[in-house]
Amino acid sequence: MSDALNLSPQTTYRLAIASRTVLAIFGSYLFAALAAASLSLLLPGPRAQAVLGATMLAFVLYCAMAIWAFSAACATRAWLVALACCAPPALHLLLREVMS
Amino acid sequence: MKALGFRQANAWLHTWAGLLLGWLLYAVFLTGTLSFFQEEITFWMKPELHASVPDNQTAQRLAQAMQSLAPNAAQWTLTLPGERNAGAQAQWFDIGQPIVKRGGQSVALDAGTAEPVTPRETRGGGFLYRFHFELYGMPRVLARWIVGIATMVMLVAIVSGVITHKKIFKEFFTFRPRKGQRSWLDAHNATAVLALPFHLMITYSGLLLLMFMLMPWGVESAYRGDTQKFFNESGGRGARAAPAMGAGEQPLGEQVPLSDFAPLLAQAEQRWPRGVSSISVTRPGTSDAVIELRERGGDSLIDRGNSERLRFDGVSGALLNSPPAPGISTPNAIYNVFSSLHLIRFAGAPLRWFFFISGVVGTAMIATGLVLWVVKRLPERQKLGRTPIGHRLVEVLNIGTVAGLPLAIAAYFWANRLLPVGMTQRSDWEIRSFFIVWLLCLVHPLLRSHKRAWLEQLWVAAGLFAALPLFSVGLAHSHLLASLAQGQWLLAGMDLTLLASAALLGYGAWKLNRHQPLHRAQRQPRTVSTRQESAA
Repeated sequence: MSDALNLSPQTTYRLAIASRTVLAIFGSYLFAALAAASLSLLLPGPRAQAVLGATMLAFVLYCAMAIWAFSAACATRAWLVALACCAPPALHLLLREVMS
Repeated sequence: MKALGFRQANAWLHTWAGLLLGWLLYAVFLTGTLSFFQEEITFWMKPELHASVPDNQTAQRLAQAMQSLAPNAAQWTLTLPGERNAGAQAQWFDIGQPIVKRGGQSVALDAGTAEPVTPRETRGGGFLYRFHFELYGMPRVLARWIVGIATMVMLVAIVSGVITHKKIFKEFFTFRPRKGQRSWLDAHNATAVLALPFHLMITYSGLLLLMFMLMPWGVESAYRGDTQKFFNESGGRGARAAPAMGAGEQPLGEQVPLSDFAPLLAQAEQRWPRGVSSISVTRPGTSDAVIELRERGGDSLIDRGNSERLRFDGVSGALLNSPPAPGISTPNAIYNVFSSLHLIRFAGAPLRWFFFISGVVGTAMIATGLVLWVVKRLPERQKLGRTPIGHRLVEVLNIGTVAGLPLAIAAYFWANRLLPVGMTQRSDWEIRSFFIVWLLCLVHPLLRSHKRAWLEQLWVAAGLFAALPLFSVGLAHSHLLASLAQGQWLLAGMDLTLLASAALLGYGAWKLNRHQPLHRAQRQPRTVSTRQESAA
C-alpha cells in the first residue's frame, strides 16, 4: 500500500501508528458496543441478567481488541480482523431491526 | 512497527498508554486509596467530635435523647457511632415535612453525653472520594467519562504490561539497586506484581461501577433504552427498595410512649456480631409507631454486603416481618462481588488496611512508571546533548503530580486545622487551598532545576505531614499520646499514618539527595531498552 503511494518509511510508520491508535480507541469501542448489544439479546437467562453479563464482558472484549490493534503484524491485518469480529454482532442487530 | 513482535508491540503500547494518562491515574489512585478511609479522615477533620467516646449504653442513651431533641418528628434516624466514626448523627423530619434523602434536620451528637455538637464545616474525606471519580469543578458526567476512559486505558496498560513481562514472576524476585534505570524498572515490576490481583480487580471493578454510562448499549438493545425498567428487573443498582416506611402526614394523636429500646437492641446485638449501625423510628408517639434496626455491614459480598434490618412494633416491641432477601443470579453475583470489593463498605479494619496498602503500592507503581519514562530516555538525551521540550514537560508534570499531589493533600488537611471555624464557605476554602497549592506545585518545577524541584517538594510535603499530628497535640481531645494511651485507634491510626507518610516522603527526599548520577560511568544499557527505544 505504502509502495504504491510512494511514502517515506517514516511517514508510513507514523500512518500505521495513527491507524492502529484509531482502531484501538474507537474500533475497540465499536466492537465492544456491538458485542454488548448483541449478546444482551443472545445470552441465556432472564433479560436483565443477560444485559448485565454482556456489558461486563464488553470491557474485556474492549481490552483484548485494543491490544490486538497494536500487536497484529501489520495495521491492515489488524483492521481486517477487527472488521471480521464486528460483522457477526452487527449482522445480528441489523437482522433484528429488519425482522421487527 | 511492522518489525515488532507481539511483546515489543505490547511494550510500546504500555509505555505510551501509561504515559499519556499516568498523571490522571496517579491522582485517581492516590485519592481513591485514601477513600478506603474516607469516614476516618472525615472524623479526624472534625476535632469537635473527638471528645465523643461511645460506651455500651450509647445507643439507648441517644434513642432516649431523640424524644426531647425532636419532639415533633414524624420520623427520625440515628446513625450510631462505630469503629470508623466515634460521633453519632441524628436526622429527623417533622410532621408534614417532605421526606427526602438529604432533607429534614440533622445534628451531630456526642456519644457519651447525647448532647448536640457543632463540628466545623468540612467536606472531609468525602472530597477526596468524590475527586477520585468525579474530579472537581466540571460537569459530573464529563468527569466520569474522563476517569472512565483513563480506567479503560489503565486496564489495557496492566494487561499489556503483563504480556510485556511474561517472565513477570521471575522478574519479581529481581531487584538491582543503585543501577539507575534498571532499579526503576525493577521497582515498577515489583510494585506491579506485588499487588497485581488488586490492580486488576480495582481497575475492572471501577469500570463496572461506571459501566451503564460507558457502555449503555446492552440496555439500549434489550430494553430499547428504558434504563429504569432494566434496573427494576435486575433488582440491582438503582432498583430502589420500596421506601422502608411511609411518610407521616397525619397529625399527632394522643401520645403513646415508645417501647423500651434496650431489649430490642439486645435482640439485635445477639443476632448481628458487628452490632447495630442505625435506629429509625416512624410515627414515634403514635400507636402505629415502627422501630427499625439496621445491621452494621453485612458479610456476604454476593449481595453487596447488604445489611439486614429488623422491624419492631414501636409500642409493644414485638418483632415484625422483615422484607425477604431477593434471590441472586450469577451475573448479578459477579457484579456485586466486584462492585463491593471496590467500595469495601463491608470490610473490617484488617482488610481495609490490606486494601489501603495495596492502593499505596498501586500508586507507587504508577509513580515509578512515570519516573522510569524519564530515566530511560537519559542516554538518548546525553547523545542529543540537550533536553527535548517533551522530556522537560514530562519531568515537570511528574514532579507536580507525584510530589505535588501529596503536598496539596497535606495543605488540605492544614487548611482544615487553620481556617477559622466560623468562616463563611469554610469547606470551599479548604478545597481551594488544595487546588491553589497543587497549582503552585505544578509551576514550581518550571522555575527550579529538576533535582532541586523534586527535593524541595518532597521535603515540604514530608514536613507538612509530620507537623499535622504535632498541631493536633494542641487541640483539646486530639492528642496523639492520649489517643494511643486510651486505645482510640480511630484517631491514633490517622495520626500515625500521617507520620508514616512524612517518613516515606522524607526517605524519598533523603535518597534523592544522596543520589549521584551514574549514567556516564555506567556501560550503556543494551538489552530491553534499546529495543524499546527504537520502538518508541
